[in-house]
Amino acid sequence: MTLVTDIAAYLVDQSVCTALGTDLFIMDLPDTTDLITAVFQYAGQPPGNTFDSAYDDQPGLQIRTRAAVDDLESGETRANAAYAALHGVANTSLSGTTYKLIEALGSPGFIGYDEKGRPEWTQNFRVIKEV
Amino acid sequence: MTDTGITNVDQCQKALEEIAGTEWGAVCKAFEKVVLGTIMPECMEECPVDTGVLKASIPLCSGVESNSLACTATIGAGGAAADYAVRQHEDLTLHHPAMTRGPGTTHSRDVVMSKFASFVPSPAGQYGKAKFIEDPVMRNAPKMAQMMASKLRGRGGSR
Repeated sequence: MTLVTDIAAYLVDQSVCTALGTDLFIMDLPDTTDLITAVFQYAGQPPGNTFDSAYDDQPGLQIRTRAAVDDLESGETRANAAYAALHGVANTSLSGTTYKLIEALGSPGFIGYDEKGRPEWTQNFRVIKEV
Repeated sequence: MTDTGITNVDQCQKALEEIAGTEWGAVCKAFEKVVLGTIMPECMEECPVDTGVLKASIPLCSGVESNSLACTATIGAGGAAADYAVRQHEDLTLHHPAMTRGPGTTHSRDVVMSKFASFVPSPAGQYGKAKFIEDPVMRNAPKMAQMMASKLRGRGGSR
């Protein structure tokens, strides 16, 4: 499993989202559904060396939330639910991979409206996971 | 009481405090050089370019402040590009032709790739990527102390 699939499964498990492909997507933000969460991976930090040539991956994780036009409340609620579920996850196995830490780099940030006037938020996380 | 075998701790602490007092200005200067001379240029190189307004805003929104207690750096973008700077930085779905050269510039990637016979430079136009500030900062953060030490050594100090 990859970072984004692990996190997507966890968000469903934590009842932040309903199901992958309905209101939750990986590395994509399809136009079809208004209230939606998308999970992205980006570069993050260099690997953290441990011992015996081992290292931990430290990728960046972005949770992006979009809501229907004029529905700021649902979007904020969804973004904050993901925030609460993910921030502080420590020494936890997700889909068989050990996540040593998931730490929010800030609160969900409003990034504006899409071309249809739907509000969007992003929140970025630092992740330390075993390879 | 356990004998640690360490002596003259007080003198060591005093000497370190004296060094901190006399060299603090140099430390701040080294910090400024690393932030504005190394990391900020990487942010500019990775910044998406269409009109160039966003890229040009980076030096205007960046700087280092220091006082007797702390050095603080800011690397930012916005200014005249404030309306779209955040989205350009955060939206990982926006399509930017992958780090090719921008109008009137020679991107460092071109310099490297030009060593390969098959390399054909992309036409001038839009380039860059999302996370153009966060990525350079995050990948350089673990090396900050090492880079600052290098700048300080370069001063030819006697310590």
